[in-house]
Amino acid sequence: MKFFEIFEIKPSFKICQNNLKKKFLELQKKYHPDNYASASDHEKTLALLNSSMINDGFEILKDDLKRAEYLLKCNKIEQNNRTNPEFLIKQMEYEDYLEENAHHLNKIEMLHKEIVQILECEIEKLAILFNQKNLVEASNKMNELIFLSKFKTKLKHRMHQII
Amino acid sequence: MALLQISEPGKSTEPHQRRLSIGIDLGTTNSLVASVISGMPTIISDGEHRLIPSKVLYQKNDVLVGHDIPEHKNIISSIKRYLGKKLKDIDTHALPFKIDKEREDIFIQTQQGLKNPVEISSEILKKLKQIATERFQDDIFGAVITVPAYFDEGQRQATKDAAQLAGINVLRLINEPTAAALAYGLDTKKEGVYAIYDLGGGTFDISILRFSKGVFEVLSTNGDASLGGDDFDQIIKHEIIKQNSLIHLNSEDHEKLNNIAKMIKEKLTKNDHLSEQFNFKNHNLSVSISSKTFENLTINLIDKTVQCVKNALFDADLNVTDIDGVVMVGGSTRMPVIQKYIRQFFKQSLLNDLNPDEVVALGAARQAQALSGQSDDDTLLLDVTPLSLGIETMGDLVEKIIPRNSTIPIAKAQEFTTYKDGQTMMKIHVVQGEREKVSENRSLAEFILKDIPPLPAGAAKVRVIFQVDADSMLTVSAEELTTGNKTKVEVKPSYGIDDKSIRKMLEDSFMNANMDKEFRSLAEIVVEANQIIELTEKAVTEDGHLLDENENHVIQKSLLDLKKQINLNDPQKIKEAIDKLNNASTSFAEKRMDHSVQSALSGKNINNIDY
Repeated sequence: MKFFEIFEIKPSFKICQNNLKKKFLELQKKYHPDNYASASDHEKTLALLNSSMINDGFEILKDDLKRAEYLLKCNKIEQNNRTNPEFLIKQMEYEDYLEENAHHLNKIEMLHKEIVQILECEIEKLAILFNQKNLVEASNKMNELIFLSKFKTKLKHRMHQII
Repeated sequence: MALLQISEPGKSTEPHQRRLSIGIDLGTTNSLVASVISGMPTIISDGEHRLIPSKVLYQKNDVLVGHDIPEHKNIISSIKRYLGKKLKDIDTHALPFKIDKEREDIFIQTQQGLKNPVEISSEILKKLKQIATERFQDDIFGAVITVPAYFDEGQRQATKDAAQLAGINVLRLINEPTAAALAYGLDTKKEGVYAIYDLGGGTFDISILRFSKGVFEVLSTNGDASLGGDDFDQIIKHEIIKQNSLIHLNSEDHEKLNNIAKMIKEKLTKNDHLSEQFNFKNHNLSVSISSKTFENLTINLIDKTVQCVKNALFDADLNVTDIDGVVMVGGSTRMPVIQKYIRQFFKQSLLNDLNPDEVVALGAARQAQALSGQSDDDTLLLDVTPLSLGIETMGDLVEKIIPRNSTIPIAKAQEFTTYKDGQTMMKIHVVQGEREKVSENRSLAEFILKDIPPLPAGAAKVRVIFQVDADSMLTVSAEELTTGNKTKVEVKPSYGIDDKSIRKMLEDSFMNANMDKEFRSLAEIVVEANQIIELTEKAVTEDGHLLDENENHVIQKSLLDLKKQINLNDPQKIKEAIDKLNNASTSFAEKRMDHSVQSALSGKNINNIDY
């Protein structure tokens, strides 16, 4: 939970992004190596380590999925690598659809919108599971979410390439 | 609180003595030096010129730089294009100088023998330092040097080495677009998202920055390391060659035509149509070109920059409409055709009231001032890695460890395993770039991790740690975890010139030895010593209970010894005493850390951090 401690945020899935960002800037203003450019080598090293850790923590806490994975890891919940077969089929359908319509901007945009909506909805569900302290169930959801998130990025890249 | 304890920056010392800091824009075509004078970033001229051409001439007994060079044919120019590169990285046809083609690294033939781009760049840096020293009649404490955001590790390391060779204490390397944003930040401290469009003589950079709550965050950066104003000159040159049917041109002719082309380009910024007569090899030639023709001929080049802008916006997850301001940097942005297209693309007027040639150096001066602890300005700069960093895995594939546009400094660890039974060695090949295949990326360093215990395939665990510091410089280390037997190797990316050669170049340079002494002068080391004494005494007062009798004794003795040495005025002895005290108090610093963190993070050794 060290990242939550660093950012003085109560460890939970739902966090206030504004608070996180504010705290991040505050911490970097204090610990960034630029503040120690003419300090001793020892202090420079400490600043480098602190600042790296703050950046790493911010990267993890600001992202819903990374934060979820981090919470699960901190609670020693083993990541389950099974994906339910129904979703596996859905996954393949999405990939096929993208391949078939690789040059149809409209269709990819529609699919992108759909995925964004599904992802939002699933993250809400994940938040409920975390709230109920049902970490095993939350962990079971992660594979689907990670796929959806990666697929969303893939669609965005494809849209960018077409434009 | 799980962070390491450090004293508040800038508050641990007595008020500093005057520390002169400079900002250096080491450009492909021109270089500048600036400093904050009476609170204002100011370009320092050599008495006559503010821009110093990045040109070097080696003569038998001396080296001339910039305006000191008379008309001459063996001038080395645009050396920045070759800095940090190997011979195989560059196009050896049509080089403006003679190189030794037998070697892997770039060596240029000069009157003083073979010289590499680091040495040549250091001559330009020496000149800039000299201009500043003469202006202030005082030593320079340190410098911020700017590099294109798109410079890779090798090019950054080469820039640092050149500075070291010139006897310059590098406070920080910062990206040119970021420096430009800092220069503008002086008067327009409006919160918002800015695009910095930087088209110089030889490179193009685009950065997207957000300024909020006193912090400049670089959101993304993109660019083309071999696209610049020179390419626009080439297009005009080819037009001259075409219109006059010129043939059989040698390199001297090309150089002359380049200059004519550049002049025409500059005149075209003020005229819609140009008919120019000039003398070439005793012939009267003419060329006629309109700004419309120029636009048609260069549209591909402009498109290339716009494509980079689109990529940068995409990486920052932003649309054109999210941009609150567009800052124009680099002399080439004076071209009306560039301004027209960029204005159209961003649908807004451009920020170009500072001189585009000077804005980078001005920003660097401001940052140098802040880094030397001499300014009350508390703007912080959070920069990003321009390119992804990773290592080679099976099948010529790259595993990215630090993705591009990660905020720096950053450290990441990843575990790898063996693929053969009984494998005892592993090759760690560090690469930089966005492509999936190793061979298509830039190779930075390669080393072998030995003494892995012979285990079945997949059983051994090797952790590779990448640490990128605030200069965007990478350090890689690897350790074998299975046996607890830690084998550590640290590499700094090379660019063809190894550490040994750098050291030798340093030793060879007698001048440097003197300069080195200059900036590590007695006064400075005493400041450092006092700072450390104060820090240590404060720590002992606060947390002395963490020390056992023996540790306490060693620290007290080292303190006493250092205080004694300060009065004896021998910088070398003081340095030794500082090192002794630092060593004695390292474990104390570790003890002072929060215990919950201690397991995850012990001491100053990055290899022990659990990421």
